[in-house]
Amino acid sequence: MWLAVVSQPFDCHAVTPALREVDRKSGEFWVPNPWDFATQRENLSAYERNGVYLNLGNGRFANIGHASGADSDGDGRSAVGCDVTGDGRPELFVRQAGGGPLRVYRNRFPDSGWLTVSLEGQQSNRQGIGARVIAHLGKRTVRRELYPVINFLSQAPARVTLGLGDAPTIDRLEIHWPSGKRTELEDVAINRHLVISE
Amino acid sequence: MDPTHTTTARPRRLVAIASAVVALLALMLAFGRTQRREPGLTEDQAKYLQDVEHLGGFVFGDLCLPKFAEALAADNHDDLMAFVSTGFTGAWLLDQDHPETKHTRGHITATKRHRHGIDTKQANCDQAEFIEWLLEQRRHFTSLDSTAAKLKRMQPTTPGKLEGTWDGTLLLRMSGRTAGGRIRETRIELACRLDRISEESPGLKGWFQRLSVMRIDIVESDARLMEEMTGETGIDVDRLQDNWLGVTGPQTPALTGGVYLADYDGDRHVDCLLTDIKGLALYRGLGKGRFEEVTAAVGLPAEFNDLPAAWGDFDNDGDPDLVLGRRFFRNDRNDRNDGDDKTDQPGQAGRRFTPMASIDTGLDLEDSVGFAVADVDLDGRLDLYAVGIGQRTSGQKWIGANDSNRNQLWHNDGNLHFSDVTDSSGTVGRGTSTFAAVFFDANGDGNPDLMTACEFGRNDFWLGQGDGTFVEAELPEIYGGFSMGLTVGDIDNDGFADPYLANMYSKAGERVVANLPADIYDPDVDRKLRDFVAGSDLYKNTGGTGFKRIGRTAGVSDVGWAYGPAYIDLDNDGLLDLYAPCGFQSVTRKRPDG
Repeated sequence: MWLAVVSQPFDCHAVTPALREVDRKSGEFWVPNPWDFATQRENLSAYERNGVYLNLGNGRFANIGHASGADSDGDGRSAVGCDVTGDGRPELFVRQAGGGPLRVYRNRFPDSGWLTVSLEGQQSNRQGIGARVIAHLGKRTVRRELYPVINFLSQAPARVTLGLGDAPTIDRLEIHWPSGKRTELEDVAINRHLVISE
Repeated sequence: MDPTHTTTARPRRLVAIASAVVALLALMLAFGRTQRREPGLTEDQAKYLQDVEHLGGFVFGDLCLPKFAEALAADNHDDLMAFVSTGFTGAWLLDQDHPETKHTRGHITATKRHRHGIDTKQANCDQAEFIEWLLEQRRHFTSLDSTAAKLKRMQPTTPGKLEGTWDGTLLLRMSGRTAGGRIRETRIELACRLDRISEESPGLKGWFQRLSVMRIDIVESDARLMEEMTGETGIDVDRLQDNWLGVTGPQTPALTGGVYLADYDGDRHVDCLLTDIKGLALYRGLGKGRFEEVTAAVGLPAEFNDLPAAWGDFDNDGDPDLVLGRRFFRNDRNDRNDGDDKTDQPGQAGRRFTPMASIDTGLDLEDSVGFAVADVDLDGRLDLYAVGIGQRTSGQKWIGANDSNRNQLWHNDGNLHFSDVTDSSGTVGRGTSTFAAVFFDANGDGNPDLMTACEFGRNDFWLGQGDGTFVEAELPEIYGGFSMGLTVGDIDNDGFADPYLANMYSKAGERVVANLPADIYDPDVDRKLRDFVAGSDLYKNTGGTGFKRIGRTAGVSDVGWAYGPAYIDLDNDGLLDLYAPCGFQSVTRKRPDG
C-alpha cells in the first residue's frame, strides 16, 4: 500500500494508511482517502456557518452572520439573492446538502432606495445580458453589469437591482448595451421595477 | 427521462463529488513526492505529521479546547484560571497601540481591533487580568446563543520536538444578546503558547503559557436583519434531499440540488427552478414571496434528477429558455392570454417548455457540472458555455497539470441552432476539473470575459475579443484552484468587477500544512501546497489591468469549506455585500470534525 502511494505523487486517489494508533474510543477517526468521507460518514468542515459579509465601503467587510440570522450552519452549497416580496430588498435563496435543503430568508434590513432594471435588447440580445447599468446619484455612482451569474448550481435572474441608499432620485441612469448603443435617462424615479428597451 | 442520461450521469457526478472531498488534504499531499525529488516525505516525516495532528488537532483541539469554551460560556472564573499555567503572560490590544475602528450602517455597528504578528515582548497583563478581560467579553452577553472555540494552527515551537512547548492560533466565537437587547457576535483570534501537549492533557490544566489577542471583531445590531420565510413561500422543501434527515445508499451525496431564478413567464415575478437528486420542480412566482408549483403543467420532467441548469433567452423571443443537464427546452408561448397571465391557472397561461432534439439544435451536450451564458461575439444572440465535462481518471492530481476535464462553448447560430466553437474560441480550459464559470467585463472593453473556478489546478481566465475568441490572461501570482464556485460584481463601483472565489478550506488542512517542513518539496510545489489552505479569496480588479488578492485584508477569506457564493446588496446602500455558503459534511455534533 505504501509503495502504491508514493508511486502516485499528488494523486487524489492515493490511499494513505494511518501510521500511528487512532484513538477511536475518544472519537478520533482516520479516513485513508478523501473519497471515503462519503461512505465513512465522518464530519468534515462540519456545521460551519454560512458567511454573511457586509461591505463597509473601505475595502473591508464585516461578518454580520449572527445579526443577519441567515448564517445557517447547514452544509451550504449555493446562494442567490433577489427581491421576491416586492419591497425592493433582496431575499436570499440558499441551497444546502444538509440542514435544510432550501432556506429562503426575507430581507428585514431598514428601508433604502432602490431601482430594479430589466432590459429589452433589440440589436443586443433580448435580455440585455452583458449590459452595463450605471446610476449617478449626486456624487455617488452605482455600477452594475447585467450578467445573471450562474455561480455553482444557482443562477441570478437577468435583472439588476440598484441599491440607492438615501438618494431621493437617480440624476442620470445610463445603459451601455452590448451592441455599443447607449441609453440615458434623467431624473429617474426610484423604488420601482423599470423595463428599458434598447 | 433519457435512460442513457441516467446511467452515465450518476457515476460521473459521484466522481466529481468525491474528488472534491479533500479531507486531510495535506496528509495526502505529504505522501506524494515531486518528480524532481526522490522521495518526498519519508515515512518518518509522514508519521511525524500524523503525530502532530493527533496531539495538536485531536487531543488539544477536539478534547481540550471545548472545555475552555464551556468554562467561558459558563462565566466560570476558576476553571478559566486553571487552564493557564503559572508564569502565564497575556497580551490584549491596547487603545493606544491598536485603536478600534468602528463602522455603523443603519442598525449595525461593527468594531474591530487587530495586530500584525506576535511580539512576545508585548505581554501586558498577567493571568488574572487576562482572564478578567476574557470574561468581560463574555459578560457583554446576558444570554448566549452559542460559544465555540476552534483551532486553526498548532505546531511544536521547535519543529520535530513534540515534547516541548507548542504554538497555535485559536478562534473564539460568542453570539447572543446584550443587556440592552442588542444582537451581538464577538470573534476573537488568539495566538497561544502551550506548556506541552500529551495524551494526558485533557485531564490536566495549566495548558496556556501565553495568550495574545490578535484581533477582535464585534458586530451588534438592534434587530435581526433577515428572517427565514421558507415555510411561507409555498415551496415544498420536504421533497428535496436533506442529508441531515437521512441518506439512502452507501454514499452521502455531496451535491444534492441547485436553485435557478428567472422570470420565465414575463409577469415580472421571479420564478424558481429547483434541481435535486430527488427530482425537478419549477415554482411560478406569485409576488409577495409566494410561489406555486407548475412543473408538470409547463411540460418539464419532474423526474429529472441531474443538477446543472441555465436560463437564457436563446431565441430572443422575450422569454428565457432552459438548459437542463444535457437537454434543451424552448420556452413557448402558445396561448392568446400571453402577457396577461397573472390570474390564469399555472401552466395554462400559454407557457410550455418544449424539448428540442439535439439534431435540431446542434447541441451535443455532455454531462457537465454547470453553465454560463453570454453573447460572446456580440451578434445579438446568447451563447452557452458548459463546464466540468469528462471523466476524471485515476491520475487526477491535487496540483499540477490535469487533462481529464474540458469545457465547451456553443455558439448560437440563430433559430436555436448551436455550433461547437470550443477549439476556435480557445476556451476548452486547462483540463482541470471545473465547477463554475462566470462571464463579466474584466477590462472595460465591453466584451464578455470569462473566468472559471476549478477544484484542482489553476482557475482559467480569458479576455474576450468580442468576436467569439478568447485570449488567456494572467491571474494574480498564485496557484489558485481549490475553487468550488465564484461570483463577480463591482464591490467599490469603480467600473471594474471584482471576482470572489469560494475555495475549499479545512482547519485540519491549515494545521497540517503549517507543520510541513519547508525543505521537503521544491519551492514551487511547496508554495502551491501552502496556497491550498489560504481559504477563499477576493480578486480586486486593478482598473482592468489585472487582479490583486485582497481576501484576507478584506475579511472574507475565513469562510470554511466554501461553495457557490453570491454578491447581493443586502442593505441597498449601493455596495455589494457577500453571502458565502460553506460546510462540507456534517454528520454529528458529538464527534470531532475533520
